[in-house]
Amino acid sequence: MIAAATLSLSQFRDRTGGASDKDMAEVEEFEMFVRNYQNMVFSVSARIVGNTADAEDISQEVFIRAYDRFKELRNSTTVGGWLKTVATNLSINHLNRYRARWKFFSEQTAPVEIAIEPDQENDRAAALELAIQKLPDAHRVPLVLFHFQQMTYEEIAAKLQISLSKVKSDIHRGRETLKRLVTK
Amino acid sequence: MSDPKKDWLDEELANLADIEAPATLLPKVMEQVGERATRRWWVGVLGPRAAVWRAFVLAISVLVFGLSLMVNPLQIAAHLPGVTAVMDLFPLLLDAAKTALLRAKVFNYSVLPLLATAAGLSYILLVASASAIQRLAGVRK
Repeated sequence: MIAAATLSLSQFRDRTGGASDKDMAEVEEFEMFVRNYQNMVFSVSARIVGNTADAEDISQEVFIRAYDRFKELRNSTTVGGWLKTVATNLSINHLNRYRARWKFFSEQTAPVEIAIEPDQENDRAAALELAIQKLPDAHRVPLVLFHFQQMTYEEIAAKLQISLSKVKSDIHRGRETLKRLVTK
Repeated sequence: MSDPKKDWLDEELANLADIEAPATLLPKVMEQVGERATRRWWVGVLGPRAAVWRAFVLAISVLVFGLSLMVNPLQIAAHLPGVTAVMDLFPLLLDAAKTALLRAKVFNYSVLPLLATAAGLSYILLVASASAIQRLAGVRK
């Protein structure tokens, strides 16, 4: 990963022949910033949208927005929270674009079957991560917001524009599915 | 002391580490950052405030339009020295151009229809070229 990142910086240097030392210093500082927060941002997106390709695109968008406000964010103590909020909102917006699919899954009650790869069988954390990704959108999103973003039921209901009782039942169903799959 | 309401799933979820971001994420972000950093300075200044500038230009346009309704600019200009002579010259120039277009002939054809035909054909050619370029660009994507 370090090799790939170094290559990106050298490409940047070639491209910005006329860039000042100040600009270069800022870009290098931003690169360090991305290195520090990329796993956190990617995790938020990947757990909400449930697939890594979309999560990478969303993470990219989050960091571009962060770059536009880097002067404010670089010394902020709440930068982690800001990144998590933007990643959460962009991920939910991404899912909302497929609202029809979302509604379809929310009505689906069939159990989810997950094929855990042989080398991951003994790794409970990996199995749990995979199980989260394979949950239906309607169960996964409230569960992730509740457990990983520490949002309340009311906040989740407002954010997803669904009823409080549906939030509770979706989180409960998601948890039951996870328990069943991980203890198998 | 642990919370009795919490079960093993809560604990395992709380202990889950961040997922490692793909190695391609950082280069992709830095490439876009490079593009943004090399943009012209005025794009950086005006870009984020595009809506404000649009509103400003619209307000100025409305103001100028309103002033032009209240004050006749030609009336004001007429008082300036030398402007009257130029304004008198305009009708003469227009008359001369009209006469030249209607009376002048090229191979026994009047100039006006020839010019109108050339302008029409140029317009059609321009539209056809733009449409072809757009279609080719679409195919390349």
